[in-house]
Amino acid sequence: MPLYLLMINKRKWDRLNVPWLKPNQIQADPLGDLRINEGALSVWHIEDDESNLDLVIAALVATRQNFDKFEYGLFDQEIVTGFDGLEKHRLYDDEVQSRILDAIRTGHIDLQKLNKSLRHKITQLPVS
Amino acid sequence: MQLELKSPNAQNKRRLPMADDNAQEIALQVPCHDEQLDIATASALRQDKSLKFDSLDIDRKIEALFRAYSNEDFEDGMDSEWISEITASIRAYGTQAVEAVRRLVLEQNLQPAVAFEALRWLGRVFHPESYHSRLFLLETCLDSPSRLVRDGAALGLVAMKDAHAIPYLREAIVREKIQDLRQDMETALWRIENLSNAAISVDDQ
Repeated sequence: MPLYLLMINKRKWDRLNVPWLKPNQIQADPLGDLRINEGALSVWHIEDDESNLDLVIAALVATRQNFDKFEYGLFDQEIVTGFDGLEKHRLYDDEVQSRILDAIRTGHIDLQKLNKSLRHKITQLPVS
Repeated sequence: MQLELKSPNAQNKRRLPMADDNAQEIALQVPCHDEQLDIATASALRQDKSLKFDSLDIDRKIEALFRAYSNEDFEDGMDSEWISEITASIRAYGTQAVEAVRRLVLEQNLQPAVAFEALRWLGRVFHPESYHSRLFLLETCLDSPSRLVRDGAALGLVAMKDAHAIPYLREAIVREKIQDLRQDMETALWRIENLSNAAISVDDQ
């Protein structure tokens, strides 16, 4: 079943023991990751075999200025049940870097169209 | 900012004040006519941020920096004035700036999100002179009551990739009660255990 990808701040999704919440209720922190604009929540479609996951990540991190961690959640299209419906991930900066470089090598991302700062950092990398 | 000039005439020699990273004051030793040090030279010395200033001044500067950006909305992967400022402070004041950050974080008188950003970037800044104090700070912060501080410290340690942090991280994992954070710490530990040697040689040796 296809998934949706949502960029998140992973620590906001920690399950905390907030005293006034009942079991299975969640604190409000994750709502900060739902960047809703005019009633719409933008998410990225991920194929059920996750074949486009790396490309979607590469496309998202390619808009940045630095190699930095990337945190995202994957959730099922049919259910948005809260905490348990979201599978949370963190990529470290070197993993982000390799995603971008792979996407450039395969022609999915044009180096010349990247942010100037990020392009500069890529050109400074040692050739492997 | 105070500049204290000492003139131990008996030794009659000049010592560069930046040699000792832990110095709390400027110990500028000059020949016997040190009182003739002209105003322009003193002013130039004050402009040199590599000199050691009074630690209280640096504490105030770092605290002001944290306060100024306490409501900042940080975005991963994007340039940030806050990051530029904090890394510049580390490069300028070295161990004294790290010590100031340590005091602020341990006093828990900060916005956790700002502390989180500071700690993870402390692991990434290239400044060999303050390397060990930054490593010590990050290891200490693994024991913080704030989950953001603990996570920021773990991320900073991953960036440093120093095997010295391994036992501290292992202890932190045992203590950690938040499942997701514990899993992130386990990933951090795995990365340090598997990536440490190569990274140390690139960054700080």
